[in-house]
Amino acid sequence: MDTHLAMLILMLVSIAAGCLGALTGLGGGVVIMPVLIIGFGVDVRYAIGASLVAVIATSSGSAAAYVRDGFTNVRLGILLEVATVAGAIVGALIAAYVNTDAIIVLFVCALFYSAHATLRPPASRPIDLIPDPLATRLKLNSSYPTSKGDTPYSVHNVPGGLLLMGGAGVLSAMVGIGSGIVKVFAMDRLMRLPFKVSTTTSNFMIGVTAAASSAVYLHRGQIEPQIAGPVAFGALIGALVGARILPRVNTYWLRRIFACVVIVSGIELVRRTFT
Amino acid sequence: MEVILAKLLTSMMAVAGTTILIGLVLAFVHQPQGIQGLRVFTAFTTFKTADAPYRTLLEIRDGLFAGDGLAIVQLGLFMLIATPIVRVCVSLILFARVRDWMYVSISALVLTGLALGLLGWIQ
Repeated sequence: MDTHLAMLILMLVSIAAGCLGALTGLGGGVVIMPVLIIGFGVDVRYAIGASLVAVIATSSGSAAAYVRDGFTNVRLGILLEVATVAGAIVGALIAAYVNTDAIIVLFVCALFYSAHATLRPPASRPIDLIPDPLATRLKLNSSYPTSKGDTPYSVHNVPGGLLLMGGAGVLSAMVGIGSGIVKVFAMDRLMRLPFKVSTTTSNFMIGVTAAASSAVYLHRGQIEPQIAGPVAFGALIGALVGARILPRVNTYWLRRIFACVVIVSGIELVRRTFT
Repeated sequence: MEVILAKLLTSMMAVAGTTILIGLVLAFVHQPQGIQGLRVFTAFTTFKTADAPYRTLLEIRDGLFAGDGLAIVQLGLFMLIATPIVRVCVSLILFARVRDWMYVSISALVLTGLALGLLGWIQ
């Protein structure tokens, strides 16, 4: 395919990916990877490099807004980032030695889990205010804005959260996605935070995790400007647009359709790899 | 304080994005034969470590002097990757301002990890 045309198409697709990522929370990574691998036949390692950069683009924009609105627990985010960054670096390093077929399988598993998690409603439970001593020591308990004013909450299970975040970091680096779903799961279910705090804090962290692994990929020569350039720019524009139109869009059906498309692309990816 | 942080980050992203765009347009239009011409997309179906361009800032600088649009793109990508790192730096400064030394150290820990990757000391 002519390179000019390819880069143009890639940019347009990335705009769509960034927009969908901002609207559904399923991130640019899960769209960019199949498009690059199936659509353009790009080698997995270049695809991951480009996808990670797209993840930074998609998440950083919206993260700024959430911090400003008071939902993000910045201390918790920074603390958990110690684990995700460590995991991301480990993951980026070992990814070089892992068979690309295994990486694709891992990616598809993450893909299916993400689609499933998007369709599942968040755990509904009253806020657990019994303080956890470790969390209190680490100054993690906080409050968030609700219709009733500033509502306090407490954080639990910090070691478990750190462990899961390490895993999320490794996954993110090996497979080129944001792992936001794993992060939200850890904070929502394990650490028992209010859902909005989980999603916004996760968004806060995703960019840093992707930056940690992107840096390793960059130095290893896996970020190819002709691919990552259009992808990053497109995702940036798309995420900005998506964040703008989010209040006016009914995401219920969008998420369902998107989840189906994502699952189909995962199946196709496996089919192509193993037949 | 959060508002300043948000504005700083959005401007960094805007600068990074514009840089990437300028680089792409240049590469499109110019097609330099010098350091890196545009390769046909099929070249990316197999991964060759020795082949990939612009892995360090020094290489990017050389490419900039040669007027290669792709070097500008890579610079923009570098800026994009740096944006979350800057965000952690700002958080560190904010923690220092309120004398939260525990979180100054935790932020420093995160930055160390990021720096190790970004400076290419981990490969």
